[in-house]
Amino acid sequence: MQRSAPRFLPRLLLAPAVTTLFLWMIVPLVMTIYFSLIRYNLMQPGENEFIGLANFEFFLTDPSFTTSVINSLQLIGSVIVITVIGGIALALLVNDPFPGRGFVRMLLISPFFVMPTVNALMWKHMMMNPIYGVFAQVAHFLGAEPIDFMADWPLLSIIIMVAWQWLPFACLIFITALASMNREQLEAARMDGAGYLQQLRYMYLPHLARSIAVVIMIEMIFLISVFAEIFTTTGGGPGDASTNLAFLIFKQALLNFDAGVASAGALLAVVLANIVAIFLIRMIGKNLD
Amino acid sequence: MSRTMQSASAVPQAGAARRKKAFDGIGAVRAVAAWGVTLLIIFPILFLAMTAFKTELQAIEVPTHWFFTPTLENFREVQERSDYLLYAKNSLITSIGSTLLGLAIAAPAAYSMAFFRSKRTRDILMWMLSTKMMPAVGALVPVYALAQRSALLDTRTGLIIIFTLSNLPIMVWMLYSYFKDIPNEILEAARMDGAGVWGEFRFVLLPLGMGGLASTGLLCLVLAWNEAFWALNLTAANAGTLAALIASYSSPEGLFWAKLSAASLLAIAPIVVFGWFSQKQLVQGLTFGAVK
Amino acid sequence: MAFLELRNVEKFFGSLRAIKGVNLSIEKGEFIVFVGPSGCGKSTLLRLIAGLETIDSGSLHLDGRDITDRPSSKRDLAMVFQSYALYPHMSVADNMSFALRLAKADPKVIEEKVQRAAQILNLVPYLKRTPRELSGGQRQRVAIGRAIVRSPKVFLFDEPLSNLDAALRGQTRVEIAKLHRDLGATTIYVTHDQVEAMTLAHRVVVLRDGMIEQVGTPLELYDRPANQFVAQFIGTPQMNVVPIADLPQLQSAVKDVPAGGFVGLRPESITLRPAGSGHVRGTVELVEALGAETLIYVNAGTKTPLVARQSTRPAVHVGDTVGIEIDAAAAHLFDAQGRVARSAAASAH
Repeated sequence: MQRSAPRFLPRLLLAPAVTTLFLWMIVPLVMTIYFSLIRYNLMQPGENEFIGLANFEFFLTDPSFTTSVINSLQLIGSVIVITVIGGIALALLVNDPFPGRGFVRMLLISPFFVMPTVNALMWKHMMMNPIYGVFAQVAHFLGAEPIDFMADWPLLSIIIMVAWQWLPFACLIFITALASMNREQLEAARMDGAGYLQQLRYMYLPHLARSIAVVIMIEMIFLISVFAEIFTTTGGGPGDASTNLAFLIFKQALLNFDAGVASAGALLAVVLANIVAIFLIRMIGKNLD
Repeated sequence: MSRTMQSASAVPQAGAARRKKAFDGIGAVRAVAAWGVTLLIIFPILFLAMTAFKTELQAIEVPTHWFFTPTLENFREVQERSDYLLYAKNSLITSIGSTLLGLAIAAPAAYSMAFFRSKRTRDILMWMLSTKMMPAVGALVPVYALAQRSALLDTRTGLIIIFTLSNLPIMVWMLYSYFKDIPNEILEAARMDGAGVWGEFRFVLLPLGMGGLASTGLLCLVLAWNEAFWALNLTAANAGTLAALIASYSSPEGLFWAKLSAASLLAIAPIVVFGWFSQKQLVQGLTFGAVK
Repeated sequence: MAFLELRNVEKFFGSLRAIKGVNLSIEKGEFIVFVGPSGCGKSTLLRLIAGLETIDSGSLHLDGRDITDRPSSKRDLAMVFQSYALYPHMSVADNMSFALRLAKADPKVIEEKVQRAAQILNLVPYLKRTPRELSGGQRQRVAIGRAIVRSPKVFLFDEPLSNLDAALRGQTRVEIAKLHRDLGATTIYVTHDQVEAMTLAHRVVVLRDGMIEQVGTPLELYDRPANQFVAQFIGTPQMNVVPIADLPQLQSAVKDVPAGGFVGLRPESITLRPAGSGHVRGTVELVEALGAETLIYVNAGTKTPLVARQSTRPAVHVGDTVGIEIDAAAAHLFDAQGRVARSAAASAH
């Protein structure tokens, strides 16, 4: 670099971004830790005495806590399984050329860009409504009883909505990964006599292993925070049947106004997310030139 | 292969006798399957779009009417609602505002990291990405408390700040990779030709980086527009975005379904279209480059 | 003082001393070639002159002025990059006129100069095209044109021919030589190809590990290399350098070889004789018939085979036993450290 271009120019350019993000990281974290250790009710500000780990105890002994963790795990697990398997299948399907492939790929990505709240209502009323929803009509057509998704299968409904939205994401990632597959290797395998299933097992899946890992980790991180769909449709219910960890924290904070307990819960969620994030960061770091 | 594709019959032949026919068969099955699955997946969106053009009575009729005279009545009514316009305006302002603010902060940072690389550059980038990985709910309480105390609750400004902070890591990351793609030698050539730092920026970097800036901006526009978590929690009647508006219709009476469809369609259509054009950036941005 | 002078120039990359105290004087109008193996620092040295890297210690003087601390934009030097580095978003004409536009020159003057350069380089039909629409050779000419238009004090070329195919390389080499004859501009040219060095240069600077091994005209370097490295770097095929200990038979022909030293023989100073005659005996390993000349590789018990160059087509085959006769007057003698003790006689090669 030029002797004349001062060393401090690059630092100056970086400063706004670094300071902003640093504050964004530190301030909420410090505040959350602080709140989790005091009594803090949003409706009664001012009575903030230190109560140690009482908030954590309260959060963890909340009967809904275990349910919410189980629900979170079910939600995240199911969505991951559906999107990874479905995504790979779809990606393989559209991998080889066919008429209109470009158009199909464009259309396939659409669900990912639908606003979460629209997504939620679309499914709740259009597809899952037991009277005039599409599923109900299909049930009638087949001579069966329509299912009341929201009431009888709340968590499943949420899973369906979220999986529908993330399937294109996974699919797109796998499409990109497949595109970088070495054609010559496939041809060599074919000449060696490998059938489609064998190609799948020995060539496609190992190549996709990395992107599968990425998809799983990214979905884990973002799916912990599933919120809008639950908020808009089931409100976490009936009872706490469709409450996940994020919604539980929200309930404590903005429905019970107990900021202390909510903060305790939030720290827990952050710790969980951190664990996954460490692995993801390491993987990305390897890829960073 | 395409030649055989075009000559493939619509009905695939089972138990292929001749290799060529089997080839055609697989190709046709694949095309049909691909199109079929795709249409099935985007069916809800199509159905939503269709319902938006129906009257309320038609919308809730069972079984569904597939053939009807489309009407624009719903769209007109939706646009006449004052709260729809307000919320749409809020969405527009917050997404555009946060994108511009974000670019203004992210671009210099990305430029600095791409062209004045130091030993710390990689670490800084990784750290920035890690801030994106924290669940939003983790910051809910402090942000809410802060917003409350600084009177930014239910304001567009508050939302713009939050959206900018949420998307900043992605913006820096994406701009960094776009800037890195500009060969350093071209900047050196500009330097030899007599361009100072500003000259380099104005005549080389900006024109060549414009595409990257646009793509990044587009993606972040999409992310901000769709943002639901903070929009739902930090806003009420004044600064609500479309995401919040739609959520408030959580339990409408059946009579409003066609209008709700129209409103929803208006809310998602521009973004879905934008999304079609920013696919590549999406993969890059959201996987933080881990998938090439 | 010379036109361009480097005094004790040093460059460090971290703890790596990349350029070690280089001193060089270049006269106006000279065509200087920096040559050397990869990693020798020739490109680094060029970039130091250009101002794209900073000089850590020492000084750089151009036309009487100290430009060590001046930014590239103010040195009045033009560089042709290895990858051409054309501005992809500008037309050929805009690429070539960029520097002048930055300097706010008179548009009419700019137009004139661009036209003239385009004519010299046969670029007139391409002036409105963008780099994407040009072939490699055309892009290279635009890169040169961009430099010419500026009439700088010194032209810097960084391996400009390495991205061209062989035929184009030869052609362009001739064009560059012609260009220099016509314009007479001071030029510094970096290459790893010694053929370019030998044909284009007034003087050649051979670099190794950040230091100058020798500076001289091409033929000076060929006839009187200062050390073993230069001797083996210049000349294809490589000079045969053999430790005297490996071929003691040579001492009958070549006297006063320094103890532990080496004997250097160019392929053309080795002749093949029938087995039994000559100074050394060996077996033919490989025969390369190039048409105008033949290269014969003979295994005489040394670490690498000896290469002989004949302009006739001898009737030798692989496996034949032959005698090797050397032209003692044409031998270069090196001491144990590789420094030249005695060069070939002026009449020999």
